[in-house]
Amino acid sequence: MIRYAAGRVAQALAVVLAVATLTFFLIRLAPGDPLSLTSESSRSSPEIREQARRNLGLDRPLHIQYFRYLGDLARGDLGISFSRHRPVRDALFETIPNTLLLAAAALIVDFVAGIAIALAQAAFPRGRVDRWLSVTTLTLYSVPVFWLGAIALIVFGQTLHWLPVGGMRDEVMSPTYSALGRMLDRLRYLALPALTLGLVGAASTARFQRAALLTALRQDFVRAARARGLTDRAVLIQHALRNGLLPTITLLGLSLPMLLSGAVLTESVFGWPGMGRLAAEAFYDRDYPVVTAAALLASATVVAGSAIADLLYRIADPRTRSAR
Amino acid sequence: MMTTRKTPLVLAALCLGISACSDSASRCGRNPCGTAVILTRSEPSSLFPPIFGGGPDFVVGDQVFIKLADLGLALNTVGDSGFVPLLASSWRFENPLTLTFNLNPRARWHDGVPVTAHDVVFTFEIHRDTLVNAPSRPLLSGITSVTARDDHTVTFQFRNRYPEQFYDATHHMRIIPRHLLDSIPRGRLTSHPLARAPIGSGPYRLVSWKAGESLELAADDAFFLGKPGIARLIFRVSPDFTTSITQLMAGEADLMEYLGLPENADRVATSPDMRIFEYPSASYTFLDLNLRDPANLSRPHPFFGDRELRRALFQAIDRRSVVEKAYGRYGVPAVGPVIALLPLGLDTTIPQLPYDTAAARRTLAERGWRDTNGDGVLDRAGRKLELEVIIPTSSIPRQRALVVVQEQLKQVGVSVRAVNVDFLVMRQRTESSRFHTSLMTWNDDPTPTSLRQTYTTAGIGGSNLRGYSNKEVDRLVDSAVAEFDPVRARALWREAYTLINQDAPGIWLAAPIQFGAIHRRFENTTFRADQWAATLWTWRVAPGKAIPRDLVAADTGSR
Repeated sequence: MIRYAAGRVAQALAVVLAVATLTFFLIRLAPGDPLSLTSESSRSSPEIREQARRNLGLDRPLHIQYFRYLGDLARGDLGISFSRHRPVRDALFETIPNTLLLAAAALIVDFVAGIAIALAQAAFPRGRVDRWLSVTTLTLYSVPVFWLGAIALIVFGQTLHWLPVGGMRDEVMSPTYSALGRMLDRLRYLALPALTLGLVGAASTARFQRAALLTALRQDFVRAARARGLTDRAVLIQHALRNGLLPTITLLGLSLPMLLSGAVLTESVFGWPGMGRLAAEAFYDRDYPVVTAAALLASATVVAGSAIADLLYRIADPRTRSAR
Repeated sequence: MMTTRKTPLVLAALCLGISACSDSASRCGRNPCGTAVILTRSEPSSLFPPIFGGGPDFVVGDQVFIKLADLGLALNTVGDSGFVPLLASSWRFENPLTLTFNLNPRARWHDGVPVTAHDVVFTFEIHRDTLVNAPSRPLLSGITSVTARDDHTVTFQFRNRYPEQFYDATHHMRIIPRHLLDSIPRGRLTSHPLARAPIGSGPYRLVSWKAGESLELAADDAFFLGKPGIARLIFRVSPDFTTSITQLMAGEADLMEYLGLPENADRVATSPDMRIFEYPSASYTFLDLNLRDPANLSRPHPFFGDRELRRALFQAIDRRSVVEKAYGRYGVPAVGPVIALLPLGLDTTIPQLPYDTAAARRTLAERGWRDTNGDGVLDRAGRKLELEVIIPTSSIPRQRALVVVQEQLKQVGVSVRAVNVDFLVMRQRTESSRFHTSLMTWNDDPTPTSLRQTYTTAGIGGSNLRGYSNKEVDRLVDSAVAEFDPVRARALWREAYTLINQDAPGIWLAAPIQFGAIHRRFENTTFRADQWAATLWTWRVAPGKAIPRDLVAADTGSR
């Protein structure tokens, strides 16, 4: 077990280092100068750009920059952001909790809604409910998340005034709120982006889970359960769902990195100050330190997600435990 | 943000937290009062003034830090009569090369320490330090030294006498606190935590900065020039245009400086609470023609090295229709490489090449361009007259403008191929002059002297990206820059623009008009064309028009 865990950790570190290296070189090979001002004006002088290049060490050979980067990384120093003029660690770590909050909420919506829809479909396969839900999930799956977000804001924010239009909190009124009030306020702002991101994911989960449930319902153990006199509901939830969840658990582990990438668009539309938006803006600005650090974190998330999926799989399926 | 359909829980929390459930009009009768929620597409990169670069840096930073003096609404950069005293209460030229300021003894930093002449000296040193690498460093090269005679008297020494000495001494530097920054190693100043938690001497102090989300500023009641009219400024980061417009329409924001597209203005104009404001922009949009071969800058461009061909292209484009399609009513044809907020920027008497497709065709034929193979595109010696135009993907008005330009040039047998790139790629190519044509929107300071960097021989290798050179233009610009008489200076500038127009090193398409939206409850709102927020501290909520968010005080305990 310890050897297995150590092997997984070593593998994970190798993957993360490979991604960091690839990103380090790729972003520097991409066209676009990070030292250009973001507007066309005579304030952007070659003298200033060249001095900035020297100050940031960008005039050194690429391999020297890389080794310097590795040395800093070993010390936990992710560098200074070119565009934000602050330590990358500070810039990233402020946004990570925001993205994790959004991703966690979206994940809950994704799986709760997805599984619920799948159960409703599997309970009445090929019936009217099943057909309508299939159309709904296909439509949701096809809709771009940024479009859905913009429409949600117009409908629920501007027209109905049920929920706020973008942001993470009511910075105007928050000085007057108690701790409970601030928590409720945060939930109000989280609702639309989490639902937008989660429902699009739920559409995919529902279709996947429906197929898994229908397969499980055709198995001998289900026939045996029915023969023992269990109700359809008990058969579906206690037997078919438990077995049908296994592939979905794998999906859970892979969903986390996918949610983070999908969060880029959602964070931009809803003005949610998350890591995805920070990374997208950093790429646009060619902010090398932030892009590299974001890639590092993203790869770590993929690795962690995969490990979580493996672990959950082992918990859910006793056969995998005894096989080892 | 409060919605009109309040839940009982939230309403209870509000009434518990504040007593604003009573008469709002009288509560807002005293100053300071009001909360302005201002939408911004991005947050400042830093609140350390020497490295201010983008729009948000200046908009937010200029509320926290102030200069010795600032431009008035007329934007007169010549001499000192057009300037408003700020940190300096008075000044005098002791001789043509020596300018002395007397600081206002009531000026204080937000931590209560007096602002002194030593702060001004320190600010100048920091702006000149290569480790800090302030973008405005080259603009201060006319100043040889800044010295403090005593705590409230500071002297600027200039290399030469020229009309914009006062402008250079005041416009580019926001004064920073020596007592807080002097001990920090120069190489670490730009990334120091104080750059995100600054102590300034301006009308507002920073209360909080939630990265990627918002910045809150509170009025400094002790501001020596008077209490700001609005108690709280919240700059909310909203990167998406559609979301920002929706916030305005939902009543969740009060101001957006630029609405982007005319249809956005049409949408916002339907809100009874918002009004559209306009002012001339500090930019002009044009097709920049590289007069040098990008493959070898020592050679003239195979097309644009030919002056007559450039003139023909200019005449082939109906600039009015380009402006109409790209900017709607928020733009006029540019009169030359000059921004609209300058006196000459809207001078339609400056001679322009007329729109004349027949003349354009004739000229192209005379230069040997004919459609020898009947494909609709002119050619000469086996080479097609095909223009490659680089254009940023991020600018919808420019994309629209280019579609019109393509169609119009097609009518005279010129093919245009658009190369859509992201903005930094475009900047990289244009800054290194590795482009054939680019569709640029050029931003300038409110002074015509930047023409020296962009369209004279001295600017080649710098901001004269297209390699344009005309000795007579050089002479006229040098004379205009040195001319103290505004009437004679204007005549010289006008002559320079006329010559440049005749040479057609670019096709001036549009002088855009900036348009934004503001809540109707604010009064005393003036917009200085080069910096819309310059007078923000004098705005106020009209009596009797306060809304609930105007009554909430800043959370000063959060610092």
